[in-house]
Amino acid sequence: MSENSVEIEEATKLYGKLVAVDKVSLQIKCGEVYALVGANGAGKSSLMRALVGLAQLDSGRIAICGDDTRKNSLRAKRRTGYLPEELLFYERLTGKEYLRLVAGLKERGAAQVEEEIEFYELTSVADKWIGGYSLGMRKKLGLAAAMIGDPQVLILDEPLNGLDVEMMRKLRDRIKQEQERGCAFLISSHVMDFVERASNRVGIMRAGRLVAEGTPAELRRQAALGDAPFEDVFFRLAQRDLSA
Amino acid sequence: MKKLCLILAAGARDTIRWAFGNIYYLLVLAPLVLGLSYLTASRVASNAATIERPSFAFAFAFAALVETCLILSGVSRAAAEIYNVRHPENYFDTLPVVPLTQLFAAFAKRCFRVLLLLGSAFIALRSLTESESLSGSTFLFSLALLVLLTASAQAFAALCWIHGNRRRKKLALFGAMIVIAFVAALGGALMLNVFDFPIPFLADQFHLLVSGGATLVAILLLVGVLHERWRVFDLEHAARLQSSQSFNLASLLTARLQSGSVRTQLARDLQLTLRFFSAGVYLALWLTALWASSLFILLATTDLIPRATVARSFFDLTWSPPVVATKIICVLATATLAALLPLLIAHELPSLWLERAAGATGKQLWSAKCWYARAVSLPAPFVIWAVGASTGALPALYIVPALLECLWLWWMVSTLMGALAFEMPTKPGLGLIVMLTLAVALGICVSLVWPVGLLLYVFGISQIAMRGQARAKYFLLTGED
Repeated sequence: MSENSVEIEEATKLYGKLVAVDKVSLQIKCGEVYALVGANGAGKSSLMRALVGLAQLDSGRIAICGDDTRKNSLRAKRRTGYLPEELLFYERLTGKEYLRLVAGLKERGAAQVEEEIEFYELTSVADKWIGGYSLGMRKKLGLAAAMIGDPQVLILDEPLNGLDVEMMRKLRDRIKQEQERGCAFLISSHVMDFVERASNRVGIMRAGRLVAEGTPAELRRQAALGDAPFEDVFFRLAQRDLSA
Repeated sequence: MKKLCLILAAGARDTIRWAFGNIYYLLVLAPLVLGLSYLTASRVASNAATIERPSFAFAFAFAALVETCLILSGVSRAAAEIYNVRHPENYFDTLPVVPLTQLFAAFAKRCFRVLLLLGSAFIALRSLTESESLSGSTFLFSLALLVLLTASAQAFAALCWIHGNRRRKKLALFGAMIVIAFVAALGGALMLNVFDFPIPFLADQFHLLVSGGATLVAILLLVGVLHERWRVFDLEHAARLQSSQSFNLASLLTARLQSGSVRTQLARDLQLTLRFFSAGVYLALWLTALWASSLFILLATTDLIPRATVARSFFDLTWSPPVVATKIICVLATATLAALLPLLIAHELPSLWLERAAGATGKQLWSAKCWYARAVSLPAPFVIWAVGASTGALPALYIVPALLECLWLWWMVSTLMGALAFEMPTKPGLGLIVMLTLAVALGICVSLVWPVGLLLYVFGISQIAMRGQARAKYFLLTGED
């Protein structure tokens, strides 16, 4: 098996004449948390959708744990968990029924469903219809669905939207646990504090290109901003590209 | 197989719970409206019992047209099911589920919907016309074949529509249209066979069933191959199909109609229609063409409608059979085009927060939809009148008044349908039944005695408008029916 859990080579995605992802290459090692940051429309979600097979690249290659997502899409999907930005559920299924469905489709037993429900504090609403869930509950349900099956790669698109502070901390702890198990993460988020504290490496995207990459400390050095908030580091590096 | 069962069971559970949540509409309102429609239709059918059986050519052309409408009416929904556009099944594309399982799940849903539609239609038609039909296994086999053929043609058309739109390959689209036309013709023949209508060039039913079965297998194979080759590349395009072009004709049309919020909403609604927001738009156009051609056939090629050769006075000409036929067809065509309104409202429901956030009032919302119903059905009176006039059946003296009467009917029918737009905005199917029943009934009544319409309009429309505006306001505030 490859040392890298995720390998992206020269990935390019076009929407008509618009270049959404422009020759992006990156690797994520086993047990590494990689955060993608960038403005809206920078190409983060397009890249993530290509990773999970919801979009096809116009050129380039993506491999999950050594499996090419085009040639061995099913094997790649078996190793991947995904939290989409836009959550669509069966409104008249209960949370538990939905998670059981996902577990069934991931060829897993229902045992983990109960664990995830408990972890995400959904016990009290697990037998209620999803249509009555709040945004935060929906997000927790999406996270639980992504983590069912103990995937080796977790791709989380805006996982913090709608979560309360307590759950954000809990999620960060869970990410650490999964990291120790060898799970690789690709996370997109606008919450810079979370990005800095949770990730091993950060990639800054702008207009479809990866304009800066490194550990949070390395990016601070590149931006020459020692103790400033990480948000300033992001702006400095993104603007540097603009002026280049 | 296990995954297919899981997906189908989840969808079925969701649907059944929806049905329990709407038990009043399903058990009380729908049977009431359908029952009234059935009684009216059965009365008309019993009165028309003396009409001779149509020729094979006419019956076959009509059945093929109906089958084409059936196929086209399901294309948009089939595309949404195959590509999981705005469906919870969208998430399954990221899970280890083979594409064929997803295709089977989508196809099973399609078959179920087509079976519901065709099954009900056949039961209604058999009891209305008391026509003979095949019995036993041959009937079931023919019906099953027709359902499967229609569903597979819808899936095929959906795949071709999305792919052709993305790649802009006109030749491929043309090829797809030929295949659909062939399936529609075969489906039409199967329809006739179900009603035991004699088909001159077929020695026995066996040949038809075998050719239907062979075509079904071919179409299913084709759908399987195209799904495997195209779907993964067309997934995103299917989701983005409705927001990729710009068109200013709608803005031009609405520039002088109203001001402010109403004009903006109307421009958007017309823009969506011009971009074919749903396969229902194709269907409405097709049906309107069907009404127009039916009028032409009735007036120009048959003796069913006697011509008004001698009239007692100019005013009597309004009751002459060709004029009445033209007016009734005008009502039907207007109602068909205005029937796009509930579909449009259902289509816009997810983005209605925009109107709420922008502070649009119930009156503005209602007014925009009312104008939409009028604007979208405006071609109907002109087209139907032109067809009627072109046959030469309309009395020469009454050509211009006939146009005025058609315009009057258009205004009344479209206004009534627009006014009822917010009676059941979240249930477009039921809303459509209610709107069509009322508008067509009133339209036909007025087409027979136009002064009645004048009285009804003067005294009734303001009440209906007030109710419509109140319903729109309530819907804006609560989001409920």
